Amino acid sequence: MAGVVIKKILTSLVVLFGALVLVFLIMNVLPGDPIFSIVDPTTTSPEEIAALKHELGMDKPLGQQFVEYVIDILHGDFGKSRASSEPVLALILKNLPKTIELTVVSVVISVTLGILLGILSAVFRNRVLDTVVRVLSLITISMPTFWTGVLFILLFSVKLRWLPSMGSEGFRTLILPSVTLGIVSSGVIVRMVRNSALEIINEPFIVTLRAKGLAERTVMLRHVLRNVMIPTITVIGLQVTNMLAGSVIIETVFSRQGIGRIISTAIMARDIPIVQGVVFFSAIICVVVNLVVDVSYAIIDPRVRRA
Amino acid sequence: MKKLKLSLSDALAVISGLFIAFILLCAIAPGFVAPYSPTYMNVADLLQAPSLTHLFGTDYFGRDVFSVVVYGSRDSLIIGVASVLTGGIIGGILGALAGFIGGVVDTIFNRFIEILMTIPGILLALAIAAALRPSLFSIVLAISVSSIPQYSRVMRGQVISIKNRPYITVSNSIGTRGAVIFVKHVLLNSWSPFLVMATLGLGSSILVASGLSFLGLGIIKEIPDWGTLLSQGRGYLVVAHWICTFPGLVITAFVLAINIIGDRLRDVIDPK
Amino acid sequence: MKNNLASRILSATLAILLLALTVAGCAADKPSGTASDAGTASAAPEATNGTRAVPDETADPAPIDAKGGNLVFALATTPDHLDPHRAGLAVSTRVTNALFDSLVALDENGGFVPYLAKSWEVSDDYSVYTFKLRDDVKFHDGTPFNAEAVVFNFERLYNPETQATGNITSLFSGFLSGEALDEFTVQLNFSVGSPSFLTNLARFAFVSPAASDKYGDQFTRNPVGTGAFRFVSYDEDIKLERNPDYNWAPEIRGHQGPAYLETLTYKIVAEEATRVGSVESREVSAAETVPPQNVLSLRATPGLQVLEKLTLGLPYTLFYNFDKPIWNNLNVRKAIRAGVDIGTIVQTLYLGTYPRAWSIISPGLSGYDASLENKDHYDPEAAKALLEAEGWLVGADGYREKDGERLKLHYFDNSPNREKRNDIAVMVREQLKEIGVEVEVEISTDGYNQLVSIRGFDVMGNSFLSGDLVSSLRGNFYYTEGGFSIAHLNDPKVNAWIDQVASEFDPAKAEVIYKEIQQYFDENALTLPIYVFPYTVAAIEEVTDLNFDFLGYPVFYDTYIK
Repeated sequence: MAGVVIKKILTSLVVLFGALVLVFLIMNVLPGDPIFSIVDPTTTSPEEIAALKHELGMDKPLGQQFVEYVIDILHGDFGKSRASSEPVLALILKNLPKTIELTVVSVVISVTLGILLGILSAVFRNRVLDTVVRVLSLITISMPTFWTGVLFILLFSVKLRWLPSMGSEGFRTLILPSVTLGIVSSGVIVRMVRNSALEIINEPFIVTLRAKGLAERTVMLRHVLRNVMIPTITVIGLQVTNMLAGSVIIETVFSRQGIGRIISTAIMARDIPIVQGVVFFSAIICVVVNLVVDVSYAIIDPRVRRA
Repeated sequence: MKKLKLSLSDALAVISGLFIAFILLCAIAPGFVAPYSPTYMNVADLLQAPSLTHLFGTDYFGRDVFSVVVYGSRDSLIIGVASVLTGGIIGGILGALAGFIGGVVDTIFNRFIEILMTIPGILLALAIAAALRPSLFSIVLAISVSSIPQYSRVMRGQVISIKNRPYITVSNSIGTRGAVIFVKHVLLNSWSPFLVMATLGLGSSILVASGLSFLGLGIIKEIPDWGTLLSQGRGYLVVAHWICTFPGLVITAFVLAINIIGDRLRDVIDPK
Repeated sequence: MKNNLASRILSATLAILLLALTVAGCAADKPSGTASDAGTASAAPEATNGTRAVPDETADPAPIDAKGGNLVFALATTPDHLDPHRAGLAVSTRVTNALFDSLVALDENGGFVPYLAKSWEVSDDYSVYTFKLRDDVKFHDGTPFNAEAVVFNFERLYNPETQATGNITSLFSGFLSGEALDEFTVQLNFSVGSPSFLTNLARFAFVSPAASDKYGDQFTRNPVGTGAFRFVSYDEDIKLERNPDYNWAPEIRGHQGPAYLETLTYKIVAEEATRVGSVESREVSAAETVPPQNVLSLRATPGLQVLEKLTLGLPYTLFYNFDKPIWNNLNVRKAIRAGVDIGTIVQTLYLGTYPRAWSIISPGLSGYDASLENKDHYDPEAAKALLEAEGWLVGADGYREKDGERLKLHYFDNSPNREKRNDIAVMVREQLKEIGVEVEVEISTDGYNQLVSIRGFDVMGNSFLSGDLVSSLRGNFYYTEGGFSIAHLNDPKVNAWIDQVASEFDPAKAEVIYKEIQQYFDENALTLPIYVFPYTVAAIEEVTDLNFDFLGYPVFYDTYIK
């Protein structure tokens, strides 16, 4: 087991480095000159642009720029935003907690909704309730996220005045964005939970266990739930690794602080140090979460441990 | 009991199919469905609520929202279908090759996909769409590139599971050439789950495109696609909600119909 | 049996649900705890603001004339810098104006009023300016404001390390040196005299030399000035608090001494619907840049008010690219102008909330030619006739051609759809289609694309916010001599007029030249002025005395919450 984990960690390092190379290539090779994250091409002369490029080291060969960047990272220096001069590390450390907050709460919401509705759907299989739940879960994943968000703001903030529509200070500001994000992914969980619950309920070994006189509670907790946990963990893992993707739109709609918002602005402004820094950090989270997910499989399902 | 359920979800599938067919009709022959020209700006009839003359109301240019939505179906479908085709074909081929060849190629492929997966698709799409000039082509390219990993993963999984089935092993041992096995058996056998995925991908491409135009990377064409329409209309939600509501409902209904059909397809292909 | 199992599964589900909710509770508490730890400076002041705000607005039986309160102001875009020498965006100035002061202020007519300078003298050739400074002014860090500080600021502006924006450095082109004659007398020397220097000086903010040295390029995140408000933090929101020592407001303000507001918080709310909604739900006290369609409904909403101020400078104008041969034909320019129904565009998109622009400069500036008003050129039939006369004939597909080449215009605009400028492009395209001209609209966010497109564009819109006409005209639009003109307009007559007005110190004579320029542009259809931008603020009715300065920037000094 330890050997597997160590091997995983080593692969993860390769993936991390690969992500750095990839982002660097994407941001520098796509058409467009990154210098325009700093200067306005309509008001700056070519001479001024060349001088500024030289000053920032942007006229060096790409390979050299990359090596220097990696060395800086190893020293804990992620550079400064080209547009605002703010140190990238500070910017990320300030914004990352807000995005994690959003992700954690929306995962809790989607898992709760997903398991509840998924099991309901399985229990009342083929009845009207089942069909309603399935169609509802399909609807949630068929709506454009930003539209759902804007509708929520209009209803709960402007009309009913129950909840704040923006900001990221305090728990109340978290409710609308995380519900928006949560119900979208709950649709996926409902379907997975329903399928695995159906599978296990009909398994002969459940019948056998009960025949052997095992308490119903034990059957439920140890076997049905365990079986439902595996797809759920998979989805949680996916959702956490996708938190950056989800936060890009949600944080913009709800004017929240977070890395999703800064990276989308940075991509469009070609503020490369920010883009690289954010991708690096989210890649770390991605890799760690995948590691945790793999390990939890082994704990929950003995079959995986053996394999 | 069982019969009733069957007919209910069948009914849903039939309705979905009809709706998709109607949208297809709109895309192919919009002039046949739409009562007005999508570019006609009747400035005397700004921001009119839905009525019999204007089924979905009029927008801030005085255009008939229903007609704009009908005409907009063409670009929306093009975005959906073209992204799925491009992403699916490239991803599918890559995944199939990796799975079939195996060994070092497969390992490198796996690492590469893992690296790609650390960068969320929407960011990749954002970077591409921002760097290229905004156009239908760059939106399609952005969405398809960002969907390559998911297609290639599914295809690779399929190919590996089929490769190890007895009859492939047999034809391998009787000396059939690799390429023949690849095309004849492996590819032909792995397309079905892939088809399901591509169907669902059609819906999600349209959603991603609407997200891109929300972030300011949409295209301004004669006739806006649904995502652009929805994102541009959102500023009028309080004053004239129909500009936003109807495109939103149409996107949702269309993606929903696609998902229902995709679900049915999955049930038929893989009845578990 | 089956029912039994079903109810078991149900109760198990409920158990999971409860568990999950508990986790949700913990998870929800935990991150906000860590966030406030990480948030350093923001956490503490936020808490005290919160407790202060309550007695202020409700319980506290304070005397009726006590003015105060906490204002939360929603901005539409993110300020690029809080260092006033680096800030190139108007939105940044809405923040820096509260933090920093200038030597002179402009009254409502653009006249000069003492501010940090008590008085000044100008040499006959307008190249040497001598200022007597107030002797009681201190920066927020306690260091004194004096002649040395003034000299430091000008040297800082022209030090490349400052990375100052071209918008500010160009205001004082010709600056030679600054000299501290004594502690509170400073002299500024210029190579060429300029009549607009004092106007520009009203936009120039003074930063603390000590803080500038201390923070270097991080000064932009730690701004220190002499303003009525001082900087607290910039994490999610930009938080300022009242400067209790402030006693140097210019006379044109409503009072003297410290500002009334205890705190001033800027929130950045880019999403229009959210921003407008946040005033309606009273989450913020005021929000800027209200879309036209909401202005009408907000005006009618009890408990809310809409404030507005027309901005000055160059109104939003469509420029032609004079590098393209087609634009050097007067009849084609006149035809395009006759083909665009500006009145309908402005009325349709802005619903009567934006005034139409009639001239290349905005009303309110001295030199504005009001005789151009209501001179509408829209006449599609005349447009068609003009194009026919020039040999552009309608082809098979309805678009005009000449020598096998189609009359096709490349119209470039920026994303996002600020002030509905993209929608103007759409309407222009439809209107020009009526006279057989094809318009291809390109919208872009990226600097590179802008550069490429700007080189190849036919039509492009822009505006310029400024109280000074000389720098507006000299800027990037009309003047080509030694500069860079977006329009690539290389008209010797225009250049000569601008040169002439730039060194004309008699306002009456300058006015005559300005009117000549405006008439010339109109006669020759050189540009298409579209609208004058009104800066709008929606506020809850308790917000009192939120004023605007000459240029249209909000002034929070006299503001209080009733």
